[in-house]
Order: sequence, then structure tokens, then C-alpha cells
Amino acid sequence: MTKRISDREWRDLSAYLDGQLSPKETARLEKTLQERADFRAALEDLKTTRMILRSQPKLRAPRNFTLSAEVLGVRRQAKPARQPAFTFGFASALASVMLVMVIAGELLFSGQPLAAAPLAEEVETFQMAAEQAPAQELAQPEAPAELRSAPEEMPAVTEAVVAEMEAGEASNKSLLPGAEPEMGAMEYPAPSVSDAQASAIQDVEVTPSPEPSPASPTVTAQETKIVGIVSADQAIEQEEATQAAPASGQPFWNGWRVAQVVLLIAALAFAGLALYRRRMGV
Amino acid sequence: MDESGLIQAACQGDLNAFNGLVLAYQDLVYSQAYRMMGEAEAAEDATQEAFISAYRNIRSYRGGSFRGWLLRIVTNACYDELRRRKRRPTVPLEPVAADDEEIESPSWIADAGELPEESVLRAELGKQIQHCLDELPEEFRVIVVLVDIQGFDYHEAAQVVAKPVGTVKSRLSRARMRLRDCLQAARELLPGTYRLVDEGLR
Repeated sequence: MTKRISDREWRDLSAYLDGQLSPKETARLEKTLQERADFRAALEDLKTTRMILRSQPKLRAPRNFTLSAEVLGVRRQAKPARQPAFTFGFASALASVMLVMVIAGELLFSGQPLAAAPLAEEVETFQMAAEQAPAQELAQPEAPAELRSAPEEMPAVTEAVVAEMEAGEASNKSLLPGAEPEMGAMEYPAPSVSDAQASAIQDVEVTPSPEPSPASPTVTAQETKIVGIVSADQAIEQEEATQAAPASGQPFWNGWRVAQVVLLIAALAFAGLALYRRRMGV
Repeated sequence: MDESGLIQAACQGDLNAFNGLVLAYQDLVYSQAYRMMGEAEAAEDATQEAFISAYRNIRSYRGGSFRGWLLRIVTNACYDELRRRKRRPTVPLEPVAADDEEIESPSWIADAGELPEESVLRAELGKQIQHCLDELPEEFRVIVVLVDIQGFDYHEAAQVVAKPVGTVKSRLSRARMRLRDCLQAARELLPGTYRLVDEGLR
């Protein structure tokens, strides 16, 4: 039964042919060669293969490859041709990094979209003006008495507002999550138009009642704010008329999104150009 | 001026001295490039590229075998070109027969001049050997060309490919086995003294 010659044994035979085995390995292989005919045949095949390869005539260079300053200069000028591919690749990487930074920025400041921020600031300014007027008056001791008579002096305005608000009372109440009087009267309102309207609605609702409701202990103070809040409401309505953008929800296409899309397109375009230039070998 | 003197002068920027080295080694470098690439034009490009690269980086030569250092540069140039070709494969200039089969030795390539039979056989054998070399993986091809065609010893070949001697030994053995199998297919081209002994060993 003949065993196949393993890869290791072929390697030893090849090295033996070139005299690259140690004396110990050589002695062991020579013993195997005496014992096995397939080893001898394999060695002869390797020897013949090597002889065929060595029989090949030495090739001569078809021309001289000596260098000249001109050859070196031409090659040096040819090198920058690869630069555009590198430049496009770098630009793509830069755009990608900026894209990641913009996405991270949006996540960090997600409550303040770039485009919506100025509108929110303006609304807040109006509401602060509306709040400051009654607050300053409340700071004076005699102010409540004077202001308590204010609804009587302006019945036409309040009645009109009440009529308007009663018509949409049901729907408005459902839209006002923080409908407690203190929220609208005493605290800084949230920077949204609907909250300002809410405080106005609540204040107007309590004005027809001459006696304070037990459920709303700050009715007197709220009544004093009618004039200021109604004027703030009008200012906000004007603001809404001039700017149709909704302030309560964030629009999808804000500054963050636009920047992300622009950077994404730039990154893809530069990457495509870099690949194209590399494929073309320039 | 001897080789070390030329190398020193080339390190100082002496282009004439470097060209002395080019003339001494251009056959060896071109031969290695041709065996690696399998075609003359690509071998010329690789050779020229290698000498330019060698001139620019000659200060990085740290002694030892200068021809080994040069062959390392040209081998790397060949690797780069072969990889580039793999990314952008080209259509071979082989004519196609009516049944869409490629004609391997087209008549229009044959030399019109009449050659003696021995020369024709040698040329055919040379083509077959190059074909078998081209079939080898690059890492096997470079070793067998260095050792069996260029006549390098194992240590010098190991320096060229930057691998241990054991790797050279192993790759050379595998390359020889594959070449042996490939050459079996062209045994009718082999002179009587080159006929392989046993075709059924593996």
C-alpha cells in the first residue's frame, strides 16, 4: 500500500533539492528516498521542473531605463493628477463629519429648531409684555380697586370677547391642558401662542361672575389683567396673521434638517466623484 | 567606480552614478517584471517605475543586497499594477471563433519568417512556461521566479518578499508542484531529457 506524499514531505523534497535541509533532516529524507519509489519519482519530477525553469534564457531589457531630469520631471508633474480623487475623498469625509455633528447638535438641542427659534422668541416677548403690564399694576396697593372697575368701563370689549370665546369654549378647553387659573395668571407662560390665548380665555370666563368662585381663588387678580391680556391677544393674532408658521409644533423642514440634507448630498456627491476619479485612474 | 561607490554617489543626488546602477541591473529588473506581468509593455512600465522609485528613495537603502532591494521595489510595482488590473479587468486581444471560443494561438501572431523546428519548440515551451507562471498566485509566482529563474538563494528571496525563509521554502514547494502539473499538459513540447517521470504522483 502506497501512502500519498504530504505537503510537508513535498516541501522537504523541494528544499532537499536546493540543499536547504539541515543535516539531520537530510539524513532522514535520504533514508525515506531509499525506501520509497514514489519519493524518488517525486524528487525527479521536482528536479525536472526546476531544470525546465532554469533552462529559460535570461531576458534582456528591450531598452535602456536610465533616468534623466526630464523623465523625473515628467513623472513629478504626472503625480498631481491623482490629487483630485484624494481631494474629493477628503471633502466627502469632511461633509460626513459635519453631518454627524449636525445630527448630534439636533439631538442635543432638539427643542429649539433653528428656524422656529426666532418666532418663539417674538411670541415670548409679546407674552412678557402682556404679563408685565398687570404685574406692575398689582405691585401698587390701590391697583386692585381701580382695576376691578375696568370691566365695567369696557363692557363692549369684554362682552364681545366672551361671546367669541363661548362659541369655541368646548374645543378650546380640550386644547388647554393646564387650565388652572394660576398657570395663566401668575406664572411665566410657555413660549407658545395657544397658552397666551388660554390665559385670556380663562380670565374672560370669570369676568361675568361678580363673586369669586371657590375653585378659583385668584379671580380678583385675574380680572385685573383683562385689559392687558386682551391687548396681548390682539398682538398675537396680528403676529399669526403675518406669520403663518405654526408655533405650537416643530416644522419638519427646520434649519437642522436642511443642513443635514445639504451635507448628506455633499458627502455622497464627493464620494461618488472620488470613486469615479479612482476608477478612471486619474 | 564599484557598486558601493555608485550607491553612495547616488545617495548624494548624482544621477549619473545612479544610471550606472541602472545599466548594471536593468536586465535583472526587467526580467523579474516580465515574469511577473507576463507581457513586455507592462514589464517596461514596471521597470521604469521601479528605477524612478529607487532613485527617489535610495536614502532608505540600508545596505545588504542591492539587487534584492531593487527587486523588492519592482515586485511591489508589479503587485500594484496587477491589483489595479484586477479592479479594472481588460478584454484580451484574443480572436473569437465562430462558436464564440477563443483562438489561443492565432495565426496572425505567428512570425512570417521560417524558423528551425527547435527554435519553434523553444519558443512554444517558453510561452507555455510563462502561461503556467501566470496561472500561479502572485505570492507563489514571485518566489519561483526569484529562486528558479533568477537564481536567488532562499535568504535573498526572503529579503525581497519580506517573509521568513520557512515561508519561502513552503511557497516554492507549492509553486513547483503546480508548475509540474501545468507543464504535464505541454509534455509534447518538452525535450526528451525534460520529460516528467511519473504523471500519477498527485
